[in-house]
Amino acid sequence: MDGKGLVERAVARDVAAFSALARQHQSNVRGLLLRLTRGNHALADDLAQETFLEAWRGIANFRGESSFATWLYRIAYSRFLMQARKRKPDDPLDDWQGESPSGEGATLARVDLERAFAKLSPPESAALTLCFAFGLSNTEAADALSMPLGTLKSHVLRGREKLKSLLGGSP
Amino acid sequence: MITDTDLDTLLAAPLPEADAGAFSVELMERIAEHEARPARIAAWIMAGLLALVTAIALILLAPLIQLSAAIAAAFVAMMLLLSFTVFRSARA
Repeated sequence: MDGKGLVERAVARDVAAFSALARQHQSNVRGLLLRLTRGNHALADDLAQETFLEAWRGIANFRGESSFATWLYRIAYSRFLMQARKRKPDDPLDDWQGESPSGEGATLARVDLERAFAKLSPPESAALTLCFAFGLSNTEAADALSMPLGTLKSHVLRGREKLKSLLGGSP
Repeated sequence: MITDTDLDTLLAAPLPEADAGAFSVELMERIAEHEARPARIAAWIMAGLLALVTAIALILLAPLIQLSAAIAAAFVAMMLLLSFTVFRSARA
């Protein structure tokens, strides 16, 4: 069954269809949250669980105006922001806390990239991840992050410049 | 110094694939728990109401069936304690 069919069934509160959708999208949602939480796997997975649970609770409100993935990223980002507001000032997410990416795709550049991402602000990090790693258009990414298109573009430009400077300065 | 092209290539690389196994199982458990919640709350409320009705009936009927005041009071206290416990559980 294609994504659209699954979404239609999930909107009709079919748990199996929602489960299939969650399996399809979990990796990207968790990846986005992992970057936003600067490598905190436990926190990222907790937020991802809350994201999908909230999606299930509100699935009847999904009108299909944006893609299902964009809708999930919007929930994930707003969950992250809510959690960040609740975080104590003496408990910040400063540096990359995760293990270094491993496996076939692991390169030194990749490790450096994740460490550099940890230095970006959440909107910059989210904007770059959505636009580049997930291939969303600027309009879709702005929609997912609930920000005006111009603001999204500024975050992308500023984020890119910061990354260039951070990666260029590494030995 | 990293070039724009290199940065674009690096940024466009897909994120490492996360294993869906344990994550999906936990999610389905949470969804099942969420779905069962209204029925669970309704059951607890029914049990609480039944306990309250029984307690009230005991208070009213105790003189008629010549139940000693102490036994009736003990029953009422137990019923009220049970009601309090179930209402707290329902709220949790």
